[in-house]
Amino acid sequence: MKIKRYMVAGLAFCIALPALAATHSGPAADLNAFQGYFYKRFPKVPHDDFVNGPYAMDASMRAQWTDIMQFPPFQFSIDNGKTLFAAAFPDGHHYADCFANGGVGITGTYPQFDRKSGKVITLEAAINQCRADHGQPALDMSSGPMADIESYMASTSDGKPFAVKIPNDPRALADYNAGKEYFYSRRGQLNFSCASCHVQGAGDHLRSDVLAPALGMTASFPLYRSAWGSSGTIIRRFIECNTQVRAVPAKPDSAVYANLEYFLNYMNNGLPVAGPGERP
Amino acid sequence: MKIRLSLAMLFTCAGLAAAAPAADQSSASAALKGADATAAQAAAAGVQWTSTVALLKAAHTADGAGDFAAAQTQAQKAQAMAKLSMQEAHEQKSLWRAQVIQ
Repeated sequence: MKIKRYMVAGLAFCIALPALAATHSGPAADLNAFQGYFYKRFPKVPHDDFVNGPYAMDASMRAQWTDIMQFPPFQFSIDNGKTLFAAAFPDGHHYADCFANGGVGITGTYPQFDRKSGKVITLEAAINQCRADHGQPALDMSSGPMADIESYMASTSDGKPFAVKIPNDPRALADYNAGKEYFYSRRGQLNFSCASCHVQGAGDHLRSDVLAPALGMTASFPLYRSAWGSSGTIIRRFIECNTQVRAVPAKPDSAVYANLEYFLNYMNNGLPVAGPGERP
Repeated sequence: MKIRLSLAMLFTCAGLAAAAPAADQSSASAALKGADATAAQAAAAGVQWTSTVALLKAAHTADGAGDFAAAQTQAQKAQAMAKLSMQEAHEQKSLWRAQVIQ
């Protein structure tokens, strides 16, 4: 009788084990593992400093950055973005009418999953949606006015913690997982994944550059990059990264990039928004 | 001995050159057609390499200029790259999990 009871208990344990394992996977578990990996690997870097990318890794680069930030090169973007953001559409509405809290302090909540359309909406897509709703043509999602408007919006969120949500909706989870798969998948003739540089190679030198860790990597966008000579959105950087590994980039408004941004910004949860930022 | 070896190598090379069919307009055109089709598959799957696109463009340019040998060689390389890009994507469908931070 006792043996039978043990057998039943053993069987129940075997059945419950996969379910138990399932509760330890998913976005929340990914977040813990992801942040824990970088905190353990770079114990001397204060957690909030990961948003400063290479400047958190290299003292000499940080010293240069400190000098550069006396006259932030992205200030023109913020100023222009503020003007664009405040300007009325021909129908009399403003960008502020399209966003929660008038668009102030909300950068760290994007991308958001829209239950109605079943899609991940990035801040770039939301800005263009706002324009479409008020009869305006879409902006280039990678640079120019889009980067300026985002720079202004990010400046109102500076220091606020990322709080990207993945609702209990299988479509949201599927998009998150698609972004995660994209991040870890090798591509291009050089056979590199995003993780090749920003996880395995994080903190290493690539010629004179220092590879930013994936944790906090998207927190400083939009960025003014010296290599660009202008400001650009995270989409611009995704396109550039793809090209650098000799992969044909996706379209700026593709679900591929939206999902990738969803995954990366979710990994930033709890870290402060640090945009707009500056990089070499 | 050395002279005999050199002669053997010379004949081998000459034989290989003779065995390889010379590229003409039709063979270059066939190679381009095959490369275009494979590259289109890679592009549709979203896994195209920029190097494939560049080679294919160069192959079409060479074909247009009447350099059929170059067109054929570049088209064959482009097709091989397009196949590799699809193979890479296929393998990554499962291999990406090995990179995930646990």
